[in-house]
Amino acid sequence: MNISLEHYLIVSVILFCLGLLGVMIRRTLIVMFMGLELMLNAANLALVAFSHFRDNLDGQIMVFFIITVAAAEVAVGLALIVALYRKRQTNDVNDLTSMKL
Amino acid sequence: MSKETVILNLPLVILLLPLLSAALILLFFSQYRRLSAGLSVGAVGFGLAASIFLFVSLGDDHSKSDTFFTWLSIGHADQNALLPSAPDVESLDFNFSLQNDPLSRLMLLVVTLVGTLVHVFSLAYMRGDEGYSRYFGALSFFVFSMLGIVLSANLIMMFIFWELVGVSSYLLISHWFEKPAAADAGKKAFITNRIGDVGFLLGILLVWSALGTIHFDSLGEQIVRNNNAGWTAIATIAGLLIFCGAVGKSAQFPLHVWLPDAMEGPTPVSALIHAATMVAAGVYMICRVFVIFTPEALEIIAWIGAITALLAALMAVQQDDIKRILAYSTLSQLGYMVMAVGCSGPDASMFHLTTHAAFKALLFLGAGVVIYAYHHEQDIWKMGGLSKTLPITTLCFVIGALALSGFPLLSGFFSKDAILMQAYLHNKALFGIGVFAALVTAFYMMRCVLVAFYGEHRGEHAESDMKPSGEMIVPLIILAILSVTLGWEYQGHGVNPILADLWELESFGHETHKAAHNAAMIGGTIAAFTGLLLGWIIYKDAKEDPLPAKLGKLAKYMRNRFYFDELYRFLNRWTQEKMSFAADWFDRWIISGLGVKGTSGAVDITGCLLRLFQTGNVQTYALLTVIGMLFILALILF
Amino acid sequence: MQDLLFYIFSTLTLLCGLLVVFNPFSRNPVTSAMFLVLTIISMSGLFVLLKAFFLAAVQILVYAGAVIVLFLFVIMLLNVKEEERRRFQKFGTFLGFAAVTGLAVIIINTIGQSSAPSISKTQGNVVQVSTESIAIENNGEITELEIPDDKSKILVMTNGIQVYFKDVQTNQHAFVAYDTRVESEKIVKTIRLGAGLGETHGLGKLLFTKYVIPFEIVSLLLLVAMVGCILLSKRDELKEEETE
Repeated sequence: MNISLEHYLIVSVILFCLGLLGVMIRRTLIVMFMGLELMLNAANLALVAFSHFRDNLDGQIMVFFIITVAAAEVAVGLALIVALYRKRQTNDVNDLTSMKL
Repeated sequence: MSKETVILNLPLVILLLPLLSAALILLFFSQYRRLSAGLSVGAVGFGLAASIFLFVSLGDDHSKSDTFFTWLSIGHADQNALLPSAPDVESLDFNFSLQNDPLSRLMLLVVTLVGTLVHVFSLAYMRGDEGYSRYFGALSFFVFSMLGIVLSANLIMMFIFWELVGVSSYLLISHWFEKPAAADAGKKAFITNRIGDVGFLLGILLVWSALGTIHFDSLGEQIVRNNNAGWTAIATIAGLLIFCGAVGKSAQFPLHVWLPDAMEGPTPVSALIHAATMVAAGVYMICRVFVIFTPEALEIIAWIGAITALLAALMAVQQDDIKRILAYSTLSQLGYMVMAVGCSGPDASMFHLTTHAAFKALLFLGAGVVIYAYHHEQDIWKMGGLSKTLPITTLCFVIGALALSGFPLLSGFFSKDAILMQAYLHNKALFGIGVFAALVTAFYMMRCVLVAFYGEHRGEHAESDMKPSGEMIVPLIILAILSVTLGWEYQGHGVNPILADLWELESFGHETHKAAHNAAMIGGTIAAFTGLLLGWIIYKDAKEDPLPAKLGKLAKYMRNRFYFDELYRFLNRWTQEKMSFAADWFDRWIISGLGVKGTSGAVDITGCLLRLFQTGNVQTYALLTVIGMLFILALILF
Repeated sequence: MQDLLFYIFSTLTLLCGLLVVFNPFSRNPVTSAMFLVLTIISMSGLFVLLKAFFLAAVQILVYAGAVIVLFLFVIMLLNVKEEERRRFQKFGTFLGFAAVTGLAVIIINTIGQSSAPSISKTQGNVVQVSTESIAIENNGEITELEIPDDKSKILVMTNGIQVYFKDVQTNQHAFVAYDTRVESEKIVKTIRLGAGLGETHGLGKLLFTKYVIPFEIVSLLLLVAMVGCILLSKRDELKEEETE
């Protein structure tokens, strides 16, 4: 059958949800970060699919930017994780609850 | 200052002087006893002098009311707001206006005269009392309120003063408020009055809505002018509702229960309020608005009056407290007056009111002397032989008692027979009741006199310690003279002709109603003599009351005042107390519990719940974000 | 063929994505990173299917090449061990699963219900154009599409030169070139369908004309990120030396 926009979108959604699951379930900070990356990728896929099926290049431009920003974000995020690890000596997110009421 | 100006402003001065005295005493001079007493007596004394002046100089002058200022003006009365058939009136103005016609002047005289005498009596009676100044302040306030009723020219103003009189009587009855009985009596009087006042107010409103006016002068005109369906439909109801006020104030059946309890107040208070003036206010009021009563309403009024007269007389037969005997006697005589109005004889009613004021005040003051002299002893079975120790008092008391019984040629005879004549003309049954009640009246008065004043002294103190002073004796003498002479006419001048003229009726003694006249005279006289004789026979030299043995159950009922108080207490418990319990439960559980505490508790719990969300854990927050997102999406997309 | 490829690549993507997150065999973060690489590569494949060739290349270069490597560096630096087993929070996990599943269900539902009809493109070459209709030839088949009078049926594309319209009844569309600057109904030129969008070329053109400002800003962003990284991950060596 014809592969249409809906198929790609469904894939994108499922990938996004998997990424979300990763953020919520895994306790290591680094793996949580990977979940974030998954989510961003899902968004990229959706955008490219739209771009293709609507014959509009703007979607691809946006993906371009998203990739760039994601790279910058990963860099800074990992730097933060490094600094946090040095302070707290732990990788487990459950130990970082100083904002508890 | 011209004579006209004086006469114009004199009623206002008479009215306001006691108010000024009361204010000064209660606000500033409560420490100075003699000054307070002097102020009070001076105010009412001036009122007396001025009333005499007015009475003499104006005579029969039927002047209309004088308006002093407009207290409240309610726009131009909207035609639609009144009943469709109501007359077209300009606007409703509640004016402060004073009525200055013969009826007012007569009442003015009565009130100020009895007031002055009671004030003088109180100077001696209340000497040594702690609340001396307070007493005179309250007395002045009462005089002001009563004068207000007498002088007011429209129904609303009269209602305001009506309420003020209720308040003053409350203050005076519970003068010795440390005694629980006195405090309760004051409350009872006020509350019972209030019940009547509700009806009164409703009646006033009905009258205004149907007739468009509340001024006494224009009531009659409006009724005649608008012989319309709007008025006649509600006339009876309106009349009966207004009569409710009189039922409360003048202690008619069924609201008579407060008057005997009101004897807890000082005796001069009883003399002033419960003999001569306040209770007479009800009768005065229905005489004023006599024109609005329909024949049906008058019928009911007459029967209520007759029932009261008879019932109260029977209750008085078995009372042992001298003041209570006199209280029931007052009730009975008020019943007579109301019955007279019901038989279309307002002039007879007012005549009896005037004479009653004289001899009842005399009787009460006499009782006051006795009480004062014998250490506040009020049980007649503990008195006796007082004729030896208090001769003048005894003489005056006997004169008063005979006047009350209707002994020929005393004032009571004339006025009571005027009433009986009206009753005869109207309804023979009422006449019969009236005659029987007169018999009972004479009976119990003879009982009272014989037991209290004659025979052997049965009390502990053979000698009276306090000799009554001149201030107490002189008022007695004056009142005794009045009791004798008030009924007499001289060349057309007398109380009766004045009254008859007011309503353009024929005075008693006129030749037209010969049969009724004779019947009344004969019937009244026979009743009086029979009663006196019976009393003499039974109670001469009696050591204790022989009646309970003879009459058994009936005597017990009479003694216990036919159990009216118990009935009311029972009714109260089943209605009002239940309601108050319900209201209390509602307030405690629903408003306070659910409303106030519930709200605060709910906020508390919500806070505790919300606190659980703040775990500080990133993953929890992520979860909550997702859940929130879920909700919003679901909301939007579905 | 393309359908099959789609299915292969998408299954691969999803599977690897799942294994990144939820690996019953090993809780090592390195494993997750490896599967992330695989996911990205499969996504690249999907991009190629969508004719976004340049982006596919960029994805591999930047993501798989730089980002994941960075992840691995940090894992090694911090010596992240296996995740310890802690008390398994049933309720939280279950709720998480439920929420995410719910989200997925809702969105997929919406996608399925969407009113935009699935557009089937008429692929092919435009062979004949007239003022009323366009004939398109695709593998020997000629379809004729009417040009609508009503402008509302015309979807205007971005650069104002290409007009792309859709026949609402038959749900077919074609590329038609109108020069909207001159007169909207005049047909100027036809463009071939079927070829790719000429995308690197087009992408570059778009990037440096229309989106040049975001481009500059993103470069600034990269500078800031770099500075931030260096600062954040600096050891406080100097201060330690001073206090000693």
